[in-house]
Amino acid sequence: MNKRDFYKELMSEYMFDKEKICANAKKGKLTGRRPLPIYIGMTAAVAAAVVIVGTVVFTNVGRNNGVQISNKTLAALSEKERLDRAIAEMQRNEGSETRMDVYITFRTPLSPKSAQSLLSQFSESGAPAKMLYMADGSRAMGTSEVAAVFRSNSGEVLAAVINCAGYKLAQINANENVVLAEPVSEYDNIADIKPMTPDITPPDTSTSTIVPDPPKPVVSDPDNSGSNSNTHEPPDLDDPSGDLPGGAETQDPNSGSTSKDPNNTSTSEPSVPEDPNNTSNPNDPGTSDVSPVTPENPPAAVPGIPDGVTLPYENTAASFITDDLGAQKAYFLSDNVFYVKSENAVSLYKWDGKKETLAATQAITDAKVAWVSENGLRMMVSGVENGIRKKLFIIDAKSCTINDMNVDEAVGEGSIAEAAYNEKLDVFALNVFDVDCRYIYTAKLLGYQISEPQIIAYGSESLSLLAAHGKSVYYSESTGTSTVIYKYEDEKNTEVKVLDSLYVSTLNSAFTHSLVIGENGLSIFDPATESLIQINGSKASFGASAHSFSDGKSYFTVRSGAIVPENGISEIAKIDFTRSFSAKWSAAVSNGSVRIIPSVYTERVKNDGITFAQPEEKATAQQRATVNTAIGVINALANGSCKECGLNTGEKLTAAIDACFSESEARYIKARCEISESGELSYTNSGFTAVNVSDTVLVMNDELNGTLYIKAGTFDGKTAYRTVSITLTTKNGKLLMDAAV
Amino acid sequence: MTKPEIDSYFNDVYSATFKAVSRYVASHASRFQDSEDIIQNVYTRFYKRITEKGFGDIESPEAFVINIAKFECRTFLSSFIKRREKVRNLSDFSEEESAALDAELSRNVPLLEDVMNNKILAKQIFDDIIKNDETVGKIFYLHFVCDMKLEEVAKRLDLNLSTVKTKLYRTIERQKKKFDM
Repeated sequence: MNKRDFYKELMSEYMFDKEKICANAKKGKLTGRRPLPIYIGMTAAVAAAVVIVGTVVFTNVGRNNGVQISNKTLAALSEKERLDRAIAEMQRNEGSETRMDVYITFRTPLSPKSAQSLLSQFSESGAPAKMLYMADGSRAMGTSEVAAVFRSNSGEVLAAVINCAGYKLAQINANENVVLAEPVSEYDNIADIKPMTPDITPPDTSTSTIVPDPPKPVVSDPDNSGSNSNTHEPPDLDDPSGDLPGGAETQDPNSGSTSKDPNNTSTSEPSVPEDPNNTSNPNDPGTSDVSPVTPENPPAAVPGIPDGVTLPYENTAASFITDDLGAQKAYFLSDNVFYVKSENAVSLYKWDGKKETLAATQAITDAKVAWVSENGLRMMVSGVENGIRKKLFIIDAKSCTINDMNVDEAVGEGSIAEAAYNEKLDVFALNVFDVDCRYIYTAKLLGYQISEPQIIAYGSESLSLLAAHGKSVYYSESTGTSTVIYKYEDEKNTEVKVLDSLYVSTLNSAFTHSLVIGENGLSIFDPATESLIQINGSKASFGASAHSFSDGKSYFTVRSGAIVPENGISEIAKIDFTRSFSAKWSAAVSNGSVRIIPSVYTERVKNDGITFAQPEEKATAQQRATVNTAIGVINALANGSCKECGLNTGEKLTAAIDACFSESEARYIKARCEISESGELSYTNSGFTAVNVSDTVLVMNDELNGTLYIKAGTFDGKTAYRTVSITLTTKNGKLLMDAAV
Repeated sequence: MTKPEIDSYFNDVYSATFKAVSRYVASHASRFQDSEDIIQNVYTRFYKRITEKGFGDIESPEAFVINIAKFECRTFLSSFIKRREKVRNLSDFSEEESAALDAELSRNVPLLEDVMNNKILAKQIFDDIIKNDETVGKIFYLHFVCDMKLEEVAKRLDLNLSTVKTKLYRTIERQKKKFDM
């Protein structure tokens, strides 16, 4: 044997306590140096109890820092532990005259005569052995039985117990016929002690390299397959077609108000329909003496508009179509950056108002939005690489970057089932699905990376994230026919609630609540009160909002364990985040290209300048004509299209403004837009934005005062309007606008 | 399935896979000293699994337990509490020493078989390796049992190659004198 083989054998034999591991495995012992709330197959309640008492000890106790076996009997020790103790006892009793019982294991079975001869060397008093352990497993106990064996000289002896002085331990252990000599304490029952294994297993030399990663075992587990499949794949927050797991009728809570038709990728910005011919006035024409305004049926201009001028009553001039970007989804994250998801990538494009420029792209398939900040400037997107959902990126609209979060180590060879981030609490959570198990990590975000992740839960059954609140992270585990909600806080896992049936949950974007579907329908998990709040209906959408949602008809906020009506438009707007985070633009996908259109949506809703009141047109033809003409003139200025409209000289533009605005307002507009009143046409748009006449509803309170409602968007089928006060004035019997729209 | 059947199957798998699993774990655990705990968890999980769901669907027991081992290595808490042990890197290992090390390891010593048969002595030699310097124990296990090249061991333990070689060489030389081997 050369030294290389010797050390291989030595280290193989003694590095790990094979016997103890085997015995502990059968006892179900898991090492307790990590916070495990759930053990395979254990009932949730028991698992929780285990965790409560088994709080993690982070201190490294080390492997080889001493043997804590003093309170165990020999029969309870593994061979490695027995060896450790024997060596310690041998050293401790060196030179000791104290007599003790010693259990001796022979290297090979000995005949009774040979055993007797050998044992006599060790016991100077010549006292007979107290016990013989025979090769057939039988024992000779006591002086008479032992003497009988020696006399008959039949059978083979594997071990014996003798009484000798402590200093003899070294001598006995040094004997080539002895495997081990161990002191027997008063607590040991010698009838229970088994001999040490005489033979040392030869080292495995069959392989010369480290065991390679094997293929995943082919295991069909019908018990797990159902539950796993439910939540294996994370929902996409901006996927309008995504249903909640479990096949319930409930819509993806994060789908916002976009159409259920997956082919309808329009963000449904109502102000500029995809089909320019489909711009029907939403108002009941019967309530007004003004005919519905369409491009084919433009309103009559007020007197004074120069001949040959065609005012732009509809805001189509600023619509822009990009090249084919392969876009499947697109929306603005800021005023000048929009996000595009294509089949094999996610990309950020800069937008300067006229053209797009690719700023960043990341090759990834089936990208799904896991989190979006309430201001839209950052998103977390998961993606598939090599067929496995294992990548997470933070998309930062401010820096125009797509950043790999490097969760590879945490995900390993599993896949991301859920990723969540509570921005307010700075709690990142990752639910990873692996073969036969799931595990949940938490961490903090350090820029675009995560801090060292900590496992807070794992189990073979379905684990789902629920919410983060205060110092707690809530998650659920579905086992068999029940679902248990747990709370992880201060490195402890506690059971919060046991639900008697299976529940399936879906996180909201802000990681503040979850939608939970059970046998009683749809509920919202509220971590603040640790309760499930039943929802009347089958639909709920949080969007990017932390606490407010829409049930498709109305808006609510979860507050103090109750659902209260929500009227704050700024909060409601977050629900419909996929529309646009830009105050100026919105994007819609059109055959792989992105149609970019002006939008005041976000700016208005942020300022709560929107109403859900459903106005009915109430205006005379003259009042309507005045307002429409004023809108047309402002649209021409806003879009920079005066020349195209026929307002090709300073005089004509000035005349048009004078025709529909009061003298003071006309003066203001001319100054604001730096209009040259004579000669060559010269003006600026000065921040004016165009609107569609067809998107307006004019409600006059009296002859001169009223409100113009301008359609701003549709939230789950409900039309929102921003409002503008209308003040008219008369001059020579003619109505004039006293304020620009 | 009866408990004796489960135990019998487990014992067979345990015997057949222990070396492979322990090698895998020692090679992949973030911290070597967690290896035994990880191995314990691997087999505990495996035993519970076959107890609760049987083993009829397990085609390759070794692949199955190694897969659990992969999970355990990855998820063991200490993976994320990387207490970097500051090991002082040693001076350059000379070519002469390198040659001497190779020669010593290849030297045939019939006595060593007797040493292995003497459990007390073998254990004392093992303890001499492990207890004096934990890093040396890792180097020995990873190099001799896991068949990792010394370059790989150095990388794994975040040491420079000279340090690994020096620790290995010094230990072998010390044991040669101490245990007359």
